[in-house]
Amino acid sequence: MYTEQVGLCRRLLGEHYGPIVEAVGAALIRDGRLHLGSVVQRTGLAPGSVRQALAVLIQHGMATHAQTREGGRAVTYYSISPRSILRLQRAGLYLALVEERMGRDGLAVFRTIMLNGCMTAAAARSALGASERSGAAAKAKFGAAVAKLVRERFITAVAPRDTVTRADRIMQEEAKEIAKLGAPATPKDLARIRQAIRQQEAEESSSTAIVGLKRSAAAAADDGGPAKVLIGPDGRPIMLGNGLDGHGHGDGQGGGGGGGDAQPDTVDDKQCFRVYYERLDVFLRNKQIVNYFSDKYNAAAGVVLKAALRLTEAHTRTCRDRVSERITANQIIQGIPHDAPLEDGVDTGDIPHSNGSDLSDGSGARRLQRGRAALALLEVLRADASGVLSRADERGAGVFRINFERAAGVLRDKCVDALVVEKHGSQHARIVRVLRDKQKLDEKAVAHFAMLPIDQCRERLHELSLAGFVATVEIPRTADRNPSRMFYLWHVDAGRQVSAALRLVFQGLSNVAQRAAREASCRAPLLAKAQREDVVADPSLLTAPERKELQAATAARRRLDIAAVRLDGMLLVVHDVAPSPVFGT
Amino acid sequence: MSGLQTELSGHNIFEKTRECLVGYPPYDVERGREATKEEDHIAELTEQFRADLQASVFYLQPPPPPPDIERYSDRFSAVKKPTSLKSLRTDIDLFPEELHPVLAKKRTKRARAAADSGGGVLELLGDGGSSDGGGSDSDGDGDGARKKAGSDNEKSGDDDEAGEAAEEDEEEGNDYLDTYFDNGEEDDIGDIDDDDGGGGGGDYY
Repeated sequence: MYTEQVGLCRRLLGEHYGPIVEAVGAALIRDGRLHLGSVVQRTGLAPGSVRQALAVLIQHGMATHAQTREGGRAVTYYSISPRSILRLQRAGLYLALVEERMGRDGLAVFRTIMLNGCMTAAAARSALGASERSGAAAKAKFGAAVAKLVRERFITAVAPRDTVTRADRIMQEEAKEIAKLGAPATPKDLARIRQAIRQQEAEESSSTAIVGLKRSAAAAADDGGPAKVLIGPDGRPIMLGNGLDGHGHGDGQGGGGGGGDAQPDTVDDKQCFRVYYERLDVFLRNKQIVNYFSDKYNAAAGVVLKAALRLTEAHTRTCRDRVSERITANQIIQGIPHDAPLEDGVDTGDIPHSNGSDLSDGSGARRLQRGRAALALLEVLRADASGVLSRADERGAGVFRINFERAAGVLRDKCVDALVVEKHGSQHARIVRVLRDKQKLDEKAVAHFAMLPIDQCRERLHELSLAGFVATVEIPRTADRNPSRMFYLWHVDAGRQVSAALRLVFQGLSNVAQRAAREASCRAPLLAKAQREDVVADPSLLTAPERKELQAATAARRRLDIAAVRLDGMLLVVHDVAPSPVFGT
Repeated sequence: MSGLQTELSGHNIFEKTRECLVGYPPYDVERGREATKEEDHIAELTEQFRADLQASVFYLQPPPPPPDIERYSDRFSAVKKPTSLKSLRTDIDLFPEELHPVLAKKRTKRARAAADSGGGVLELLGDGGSSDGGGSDSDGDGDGARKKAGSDNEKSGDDDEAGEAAEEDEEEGNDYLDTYFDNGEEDDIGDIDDDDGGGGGGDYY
């Protein structure tokens, strides 16, 4: 955990949930597991307020609880997760994503659930006003929106065990298994029990069953074979498990209720749902991958990769998945929108076909041309040095896989390079890139490849080492490890680079939050005046300088929010998506 | 040096001072990239979300300080009725036992006992206190309809803020009272006069 991270989490809690939740959250972040009495003692607040704050934190999925027996009585310990607090500033990104994919109805439902932390479908319905008294159309629209959100896993069901601290839950299961043995557990038994529990957890987290969705009788009757059917981006079903061997797009055979949009699933009214943030992070990460390749190549390459990533989204649960399922070139081509400019993006040797002419026989020829262009772009992406898109089958005509681990590495390197350029300069960034390329070099070799004088190179290497972007490895020449007779090789360590980048990003975000608080506190009397009932009813009660000041306040807040969104894009890459283990939470 | 001299000669007497202030030359601040439409929209959604959260029941604030002096703006400041967490509809099983009091309305001893025993015991014993139209808990908070007038510390389930605040304050330290204190209302006092004065009904001769 970084110092700047603690400050940032405090400010986020204070801004969104008030001073009481901020104090309780700060105590839990600083001291880890605490029971109610300790929190009361550390914060100095009334026990009722502390209980309310803990309830708010658990409701929003930021805190968990665990009960243990201590000397005959049950004590409840609370823990907090800073990662979920940091998600508060990504709220705008999530809402924009849901609006883009689910439309306004989906956004309304999603926003209600996100505001409340977790709620049942019935509660959401009454909060949105689509209750028993409104028409059947409104209820049907609501039901369809919720079912779609659940099917696509934007929201997920909550069970009581989800609010229990995971470490405690696993320890209790272990204790139960050990108690079943009767005799004291040997190391082998312990290892076996732990392995079994880990396997069970892995199975549960990777299970594809969607809890909370009831299939209606008609759909269940049509369901033929074991094939799972999911809806693709254009509303048509994608077959998984059966139809991915180069056969192309399935016709909806074997289940799926005969068509994409009219899924007769209904959501269980009593089941509580919460937002599935890890899955939303997958979509945001995919967007960043598409932007990276669009910048590196061109918009056409971005469009092709976007279609490929859309196909993988159906079976990618979280950002921790390493490799995607197999996707065929045909599926990718069919997923590309018709109006995307493909032919301009790559040279296939075909004569470019203008849009207006020869429509009678053009559509077939044009489709062929677009297909060829798409295949050429796929080949270009496959040949990229990063290895993100790779061929799954050497023999196959076009079966690909996307390697998310490598994609995450590529995004992380780009983010680190950008930070080094901003913080230190372009020559430092050049050194970092050279070292990343060449692995380990001593300073003469670095100066040679980076084309810098040796003294400047030494200075820059030490500055980077201080910041944490490069590291040294000492190789002794003699047995006595005399420091003056050692080889010092410089290299980049991904874990340390991520730590250094995180520190900078948290510092930036903390500064933005601090500045926003300062702007608000400087103008507090004016903002209070603007909230008055008479001023709200009659804005002319504000003088011209006051109105100007209010506009300046709004503009400043908007700029700070946008800066926070941009920094949060970096935070997503290095904190939530980065493949290498980092310190902290 | 009179003002007239500087007006005549046009010589600024602060010339030298200005030259000394080169410590603060004009500085061109980089404003950074302009916001795209997408980023603007995202910022707008963030702001709306933040405002919604601050207006919701989850924004916990300490009670405002008592009014000290009268201000003109007091009559226009929108006094928000503080909403309670008890109005939140959520699954109570997600929370540990000790947080249940802040999320659900506290039931009286009788209502709790009735819920535990299925109401059978009380029906057998007969309803001692007031009984209004069945003990059916119509609202989802499980508020017992059976309340005794003057029961220990429990007010009836009105949504009055003062009542709730008072209930809150009184409920704070009352776990001990609930567990141990017995104010004797449920004791059978019918034969207190028959007591021999020593308790225990001894036959002393």
